[in-house]
Amino acid sequence: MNNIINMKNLEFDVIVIGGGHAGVEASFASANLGNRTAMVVLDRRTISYMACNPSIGGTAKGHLVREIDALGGQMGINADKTMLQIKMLNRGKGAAVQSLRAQSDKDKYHETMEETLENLPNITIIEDEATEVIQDNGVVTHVITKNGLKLSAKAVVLACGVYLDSKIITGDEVHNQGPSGFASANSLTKSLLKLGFNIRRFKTGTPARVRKDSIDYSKFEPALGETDILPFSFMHDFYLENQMPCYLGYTNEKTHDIIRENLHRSPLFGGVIKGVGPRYCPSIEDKVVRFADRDRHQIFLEPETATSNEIYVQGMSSSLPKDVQEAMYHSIIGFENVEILKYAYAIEYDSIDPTDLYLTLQFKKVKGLYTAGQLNGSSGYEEAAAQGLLAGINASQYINNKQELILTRDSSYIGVLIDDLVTKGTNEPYRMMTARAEHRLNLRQDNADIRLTPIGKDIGLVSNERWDRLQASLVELELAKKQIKKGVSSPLINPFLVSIGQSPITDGSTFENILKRPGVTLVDLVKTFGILEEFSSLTIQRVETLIKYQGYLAKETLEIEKAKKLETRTLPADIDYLAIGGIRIEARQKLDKIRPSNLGQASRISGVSPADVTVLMLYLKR
Amino acid sequence: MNDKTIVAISTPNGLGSVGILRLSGEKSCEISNTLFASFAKLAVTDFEPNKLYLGKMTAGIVSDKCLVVYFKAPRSFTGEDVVEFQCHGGRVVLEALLKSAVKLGARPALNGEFSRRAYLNGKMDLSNVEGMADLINAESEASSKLAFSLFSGGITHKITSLQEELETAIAYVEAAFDYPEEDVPAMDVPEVRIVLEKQISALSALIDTYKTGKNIKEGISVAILGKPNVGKSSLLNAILGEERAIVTDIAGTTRDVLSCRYSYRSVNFELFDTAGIRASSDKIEMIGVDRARKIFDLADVVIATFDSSRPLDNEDKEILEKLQGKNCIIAINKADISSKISLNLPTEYPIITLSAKTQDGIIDLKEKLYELSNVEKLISSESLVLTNERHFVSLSEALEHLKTALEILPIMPADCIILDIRQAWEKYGELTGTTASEHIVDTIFMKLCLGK
Repeated sequence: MNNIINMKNLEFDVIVIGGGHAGVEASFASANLGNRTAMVVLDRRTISYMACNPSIGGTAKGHLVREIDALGGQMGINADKTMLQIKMLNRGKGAAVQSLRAQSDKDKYHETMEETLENLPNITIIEDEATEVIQDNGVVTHVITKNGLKLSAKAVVLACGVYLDSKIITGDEVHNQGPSGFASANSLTKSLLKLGFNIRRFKTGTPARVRKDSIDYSKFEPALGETDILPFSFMHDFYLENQMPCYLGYTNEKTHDIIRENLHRSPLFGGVIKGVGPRYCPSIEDKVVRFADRDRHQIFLEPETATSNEIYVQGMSSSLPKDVQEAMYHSIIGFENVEILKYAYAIEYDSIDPTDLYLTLQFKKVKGLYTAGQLNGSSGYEEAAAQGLLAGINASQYINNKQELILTRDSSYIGVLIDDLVTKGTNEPYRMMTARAEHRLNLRQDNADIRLTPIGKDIGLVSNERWDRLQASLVELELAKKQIKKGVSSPLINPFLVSIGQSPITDGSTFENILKRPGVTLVDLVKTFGILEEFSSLTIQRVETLIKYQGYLAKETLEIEKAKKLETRTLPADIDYLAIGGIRIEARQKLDKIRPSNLGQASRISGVSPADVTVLMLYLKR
Repeated sequence: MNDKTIVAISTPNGLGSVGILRLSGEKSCEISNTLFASFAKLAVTDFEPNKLYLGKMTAGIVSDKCLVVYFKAPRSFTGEDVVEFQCHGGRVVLEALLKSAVKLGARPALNGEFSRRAYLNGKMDLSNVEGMADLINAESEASSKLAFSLFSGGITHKITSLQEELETAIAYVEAAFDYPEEDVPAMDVPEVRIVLEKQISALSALIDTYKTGKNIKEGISVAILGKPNVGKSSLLNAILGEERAIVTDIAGTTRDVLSCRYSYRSVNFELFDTAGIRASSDKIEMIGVDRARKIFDLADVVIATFDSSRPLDNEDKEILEKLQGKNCIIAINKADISSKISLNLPTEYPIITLSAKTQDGIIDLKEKLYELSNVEKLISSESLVLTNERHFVSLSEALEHLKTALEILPIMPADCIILDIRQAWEKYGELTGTTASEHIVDTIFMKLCLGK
């Protein structure tokens, strides 16, 4: 425990500003890689605080958690230790789009992470407000705090989340605060502007928390977890028993009438809120206005912790005044006597334009300065953590003169996330979706360790134990792939095939060929014939996917190879885009601003057409 | 960006009643003002855009009464300020005007520079530019009609609508992936099947027009075939109405393939005269015979020529056998001499009796060729015709992906099926310019109520 600040030693290798999901991963990565690391946090209670929904994962986000874990990050391990329920989403829709989602005990999540952090060597937690970041000659040098500290650093990671000049808005009540009544940070934006960042105003929101014992649960439908799935981290093989349920309910016409009648009191429609909100988590009034034909909208009741009396009402985020919230919450069937503990609110905050960053998350104008998380215009804990991890890794690589890590779009969701943000920018808080990953058949949650643990090992974040587990599971996978090729005679297999409504075979076959049939699952084959019985459920899942998706994985690999031709064509840093004739003028300006590192990245800039890329290609050949 | 103002004479060389000079760029108005005094006593900058003004232009010692029109940026062809002078025809006036404009700071435009600027300023997409080029180079009326449909965005429009339709389907499937627990209206196998089948049929129809479209643009290839000395070269000369091929009564005179273009009822034809097909010991002649066979394979239409003055022999019969499955006309030549030809000719082909010598029946033959070229139907209807190879290739690839998707629809999980559908969508995008997956995400949120 060396987190009590020694006033004589204010020198660090890396300073991380912020202790949220991004800040924590950045701090861990930096400290784990042996750098003297300081985490400057406004309030220790905000470390890994879940300001919105008490859950980790979800579609595409579950992929991110597994990838963070595979690289040696913390989110997966911490989520596993503190979960209340776990589920595999999209079971019926194919291996690529299956994602884990867990309900978490938000108090435990914070406590466990803080404790792990405190036990790390190399880390100092400073409870203070960072007010200024200082640069000298285009290189970051110091961080100044409100309490008058001047901390020196070789690299700085900004992970201030939604705390910059944040405003909490409920109807016409506006408070200068961060989430859940925490203080906001009101000085840093000025410093960021001075450093050359472009600042925008974003908005998001959260629903009310209600008293558990004021809900009539008989009017809701329980939504249970699944006990037969492994958790997030590749380091864990336990199954969670005794899961806590969530509950599903609906709004109704009465709720919608109340909202419509009071729209004029909404700060959103009245113009009080100027920030841009995410389409990905619209407020209930947004939904009612935009989809007026819907007579109901889903709501989920989620426990905030294992023991507390607080329930999170997913689907009912709002910035309407408190009296309207009372009326609309009470109109829901089962909420007749509901007691609101915390009102829903919208939050407005400053964020930077991520196109001002390199793919390493380093700020283009100041060396050694990195940004991550909601500050970069993303939304969600997982998106934040993924960027935090990369920013932490790259801050460390940078100060140690090592090659910085850029994850490509064909390597990971993290790569897609960062490339999207940095190349295309975003006009609203960005949410990860599987639809954004063009190579998603290869980027499955079941193979995140195979894809990324070797990279994490090169960086130095992967423990020996994690590496050994990967090696063991690769050996197991190879064995399983061999065993599934075992022959099977028609008398043996036909009763099984007939029993599941499949046509019988006449000659002998192999289990592999039988498994290729739609409708045949490996789990069934294991149960019926005892093959691969000794292998883990992860291996079973991997083998099944590799066999059933064989042709498609090969096809996608071809696409990846094709894309690589563009991805590997690097663009010189000093190229004068404005002077390239033949490229449309809008495209020249975009290229000049983003300054892509390769042709692939150039092709993804909005406003750069395939024809422009062709011209650029010809220009390079000259 | 294109800081230099450019100027060019836009009407072709030669005498005409009207000649046009065009300026594009920032200084267009300033230059025009010096050269032109409107009777309305307005400076060119004060002209109401897109309206003709009458006045007097003075360029050195030359002056003329003329019309001037101002197209204000960005609502002009190039997207820049454009001024057009409509003078009386004749090079003297226009060239004097051009010289004066250059003296005043304009630069003579390079080939295609106006279109180039239009493209660079986002006024035309690539298909439009291609259409423009086709339009300028169009050799016949039919091909100019097609080029105009490309230029005016007809094809792009059609592909855009196909792409949008596919995009909606993708959005629904993707929304169900990314928001599995919300009540998204389902887009299941039957709905996807309907979309795929509809797309495949629309796309197949469009792709089928390519051959005809290409024919109209490049000319329909017609091969004249027959054994030696049935009068193939005379027939070619008769169709062209001029002596192009050497005609003798010596069998085997035509040794190589001779090709000539002609146009009939605004359709281009490319006519190939070939060596007579027969076994010969002459090496050079045999090369010619070989080439004739190749032309036969590639030609859109074949005119199988026979000599009416002689009965059909084995060589004739061999040719007849080869016609199977070809788009073909049987021409019975030398009808002016006598008819000894046996009449058991196949009936599935149109037969035209003619004389290359007297021109009898030549019009009938031309008319039949026109009919077989199938353009009538295409040009008269408003249907789109594919003429551009880039379009043909991308759309054919899109079609392949859609067919694969349909094939695996009942057996593979949704994440595989959507792969091919998205690839088809991207192929459309190569032509419409919309390939960013952000579009799909936008569509998801436009169409569906999602999110907590």
